[in-house]
Amino acid sequence: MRRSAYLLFAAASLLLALRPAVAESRPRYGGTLRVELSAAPASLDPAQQSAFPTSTQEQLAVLMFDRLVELDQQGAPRPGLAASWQHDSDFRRWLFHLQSGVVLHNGSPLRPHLVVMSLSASDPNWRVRLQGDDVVIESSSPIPNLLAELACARNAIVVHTEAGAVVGTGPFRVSVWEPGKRLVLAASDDYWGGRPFLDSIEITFGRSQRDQALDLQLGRADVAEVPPDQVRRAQQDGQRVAVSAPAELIALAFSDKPSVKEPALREAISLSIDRYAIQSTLLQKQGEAAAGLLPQWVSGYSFLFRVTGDVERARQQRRDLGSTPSLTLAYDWSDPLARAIAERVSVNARDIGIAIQPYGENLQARGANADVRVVRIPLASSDPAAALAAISTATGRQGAMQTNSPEDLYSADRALRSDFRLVPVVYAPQAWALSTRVRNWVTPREGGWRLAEVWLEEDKP
Amino acid sequence: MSYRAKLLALFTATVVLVTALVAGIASTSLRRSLDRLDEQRTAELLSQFRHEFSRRGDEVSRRIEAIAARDSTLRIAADLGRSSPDYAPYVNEAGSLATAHQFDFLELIAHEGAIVSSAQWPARFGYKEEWITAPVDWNAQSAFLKREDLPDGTALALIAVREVRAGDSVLYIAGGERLDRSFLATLSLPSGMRAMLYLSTEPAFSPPALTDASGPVAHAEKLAPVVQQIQQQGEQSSEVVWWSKTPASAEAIHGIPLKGRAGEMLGVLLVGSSRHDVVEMEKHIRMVALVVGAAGVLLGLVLSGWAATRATRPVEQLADAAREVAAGNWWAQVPITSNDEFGELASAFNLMTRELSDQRERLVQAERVAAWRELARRLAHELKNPLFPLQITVENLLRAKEQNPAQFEEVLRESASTLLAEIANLRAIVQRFSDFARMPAPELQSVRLNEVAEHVLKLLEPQFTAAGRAPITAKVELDPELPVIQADPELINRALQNLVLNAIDAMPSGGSLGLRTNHRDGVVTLAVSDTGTGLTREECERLFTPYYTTKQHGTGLGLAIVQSVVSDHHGKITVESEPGRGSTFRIELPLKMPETKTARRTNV
Repeated sequence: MRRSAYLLFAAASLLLALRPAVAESRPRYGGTLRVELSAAPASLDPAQQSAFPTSTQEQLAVLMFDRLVELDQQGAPRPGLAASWQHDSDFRRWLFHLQSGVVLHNGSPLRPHLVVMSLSASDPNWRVRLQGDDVVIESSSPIPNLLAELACARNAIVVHTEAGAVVGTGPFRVSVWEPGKRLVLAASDDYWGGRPFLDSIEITFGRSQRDQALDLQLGRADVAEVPPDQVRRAQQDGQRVAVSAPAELIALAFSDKPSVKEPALREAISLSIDRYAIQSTLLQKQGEAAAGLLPQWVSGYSFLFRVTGDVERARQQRRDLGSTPSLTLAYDWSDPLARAIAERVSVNARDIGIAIQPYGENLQARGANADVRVVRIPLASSDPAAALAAISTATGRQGAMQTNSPEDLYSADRALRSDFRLVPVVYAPQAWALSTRVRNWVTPREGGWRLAEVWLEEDKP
Repeated sequence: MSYRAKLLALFTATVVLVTALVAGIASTSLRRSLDRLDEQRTAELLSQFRHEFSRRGDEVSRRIEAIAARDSTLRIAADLGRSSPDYAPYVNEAGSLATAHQFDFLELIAHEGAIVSSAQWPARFGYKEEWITAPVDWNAQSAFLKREDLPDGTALALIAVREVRAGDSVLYIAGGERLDRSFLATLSLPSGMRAMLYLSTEPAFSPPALTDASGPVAHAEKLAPVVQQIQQQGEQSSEVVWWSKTPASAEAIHGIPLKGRAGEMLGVLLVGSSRHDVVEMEKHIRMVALVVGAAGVLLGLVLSGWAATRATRPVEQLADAAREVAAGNWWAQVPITSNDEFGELASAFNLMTRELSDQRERLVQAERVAAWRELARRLAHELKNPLFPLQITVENLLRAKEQNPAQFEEVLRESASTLLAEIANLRAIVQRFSDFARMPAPELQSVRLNEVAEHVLKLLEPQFTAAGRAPITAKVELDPELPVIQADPELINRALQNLVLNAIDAMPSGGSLGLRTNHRDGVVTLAVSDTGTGLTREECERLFTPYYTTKQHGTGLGLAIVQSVVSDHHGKITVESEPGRGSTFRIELPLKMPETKTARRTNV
């Protein structure tokens, strides 16, 4: 009897202990997710991206626009707007069969020709046409990694209306849009993939990281950005922090100005950079030092590139150059990490006798007039070929990779950096601080978010 | 220049010289005093700077010690002392500490010298500060000057270093304040002074590197010499800089070298002391001195004038008295107002005039007696000649009546004619004396003197060649440009006749008679010369005395009449003569006679 009583008490205690966990695991519809971002985009159209698309633009794009194909957590393609697909043996011709019953946010059905129009604008190398209700993509050269390419946010299906607006088929539709300030997205009730749990997402732009942290602390925000160098501190402070894999390349992009026309000068600067110090100290051991264009977890070969600098060789190259001009290095004035990296690069360059003056400016608004810029390039895809192709496209070179072999990608990576126009510095993760009511947050390895699956716990009285 | 003027000039010069000397000495002394005052002010400011520097250094050291004493700092030191220390968590620590403790510069440096965290240059983490690993007991070191590298250049800093030990691990805390214009602004400077910092160590002077509390110094290149001198010699130096041409723009610059812990030159502190106030004060004092000096000189002049007047008054009185004596007042006396040398002089003068008056009176009396004697002799001589025939004739008449009555009638007739002739002779003599006594007043009219001379010459020319005497030749040189004079032609004619007749009488053996006229400076000159016997000096002196004559038959009134005529015309007659070489009488007449002096002289 006494033993039974003990068993009953233990069972009751276990049930009481498990009850909240059971309650938390039950999704709930409704609520507004409040997100704060430091960026201040002026447009929601993915086509109006700057040379280097920002993470924010890609993150916003996946909320409002769908792609034909998506990649799962393991990088395997899964159906998006395309329910199925076929390709020929040499990967030059692809045929996509679209989902049925998909409607745009303005209520009109998604016609295949709208998909053709959207994809035709994505890549000029593609020949996109209709074949019945199917969409055919052809290319003169093999495009074996087309699925990963199509999974990129820049290839999302965007429909331009006659009124000049852009509409998509994503899980959320635009409710309020104040460029650069505020965006309110409402759940698309007739979303083909099922209605999101959230009723709406309210995104406030242009918030400094300090204000974001404060708002999160005061319960005025649910999601806030956490710069890589603050991740460890935030975690130590007990905050909920979601961190992606290294998903954003921070690099130096040299301009075409005569002051930096000498490849040897650019190489000397590249050799002078102490990437490990930047990764370990400025990023507080987050991310990884970048010698190649892709992180190790994506490429699998990046460890072959020499990450450590070579100051002596850099000095020798500097001496061989004779006199060098004083260079300017621009960074986004709203990005403290970019500033810290720019200043460190300046210190490293000064160490070999090259004067670099860092300064902050609104790179998004003005475009850079500097000799060099600190750029952040989000990982476009977890597929190395697609990611490399995105970087290649962003740097104005040939886009799609014609092979998926690691050897070819290794060579392509080297080739893209051979002129030292783009000098990788570090790969940084994306991190988010979450309020306690955010549930089912999933951080993709390549960064970004999947807010369609997020739900909010009901506010406790 | 009069004695009084000389005396006044002497007194004035003395006063001016003394005033200038005193003003110069006072000005020099004042300038030196002001310069000393200025130097003292500058020295005080330099002392204040050193004191402030020391105080700031102590304060920096205390604040660094406070950081070093924090538990968190000790934990950092302990954390970094591990075998594989992780510097990353502390990369922003210096910035936070610097903000909290109000440091411009702060660095956490690991035991091997690597920068763990830098407030002033966060990106320099990992780089080494070799100097800090030197074997120095930093905890016993006071603050020192150091040049700090910054992203945009370098800066001068007042740095203190403290060590934090955790076991064998050492963490260096190096921090301090920036020495720049803000530091200068905290110095309380007296009015007219300013402090400047030169923070370049380059050999060439860099004007932008020189700042004061308000910013870059304008025209900084003017301070280049003193800065470079201090940089080269490493010692303090001074110089006066003129910012413009006006003296008030001058500024005394005193500079001291700012050296680091190892004695290396890091910069120069300049203290400028504007000379504006000093110059203005000097100007004001100079103005006051000028006014006072001018007043002194003026007062000196007045007093000198008074003293000179007082000193020269006896001399002037003597001069006046002498002039009176010269004017004929032989009895002039000088008042004796003092018992000094001037009193003795006045007394002697009075004695002299008294003696002279007495002697003159005696002389006049003697001359008067002599004149009367001469007149008596002349009258006796003149009257004796006719009296003797009168006496003989009267005696002949008496004798004829007594001895020969028959012939008495005939004798009477003859004697009567003789008596009448002699009586006429006596009347003529009396008439000449009467004429001299009654010289008429000149009746002025325009007279051409050349015409008068020619008339007299024509009238008397027959006598030049008269029978029984040696011939006389006339030499006439009349000035054709001779102006017309205002004179009495009759009197002039008479005077000239007398002179010509005297010349004829002076040449019994013949000779040459000269008659010349000319004019100069408003004076007409008529000269009559002869080549006759000439006159002695004594004769010349008495020549114009009435009744004096050198001739056997003369009244002695001719030249007296000539002198009287000339005098009535306000002219002057002179004679030049030597015995045996003839004589020259020169009459000088003014072109116009003064209107007030035409009165008739009643006696001679």
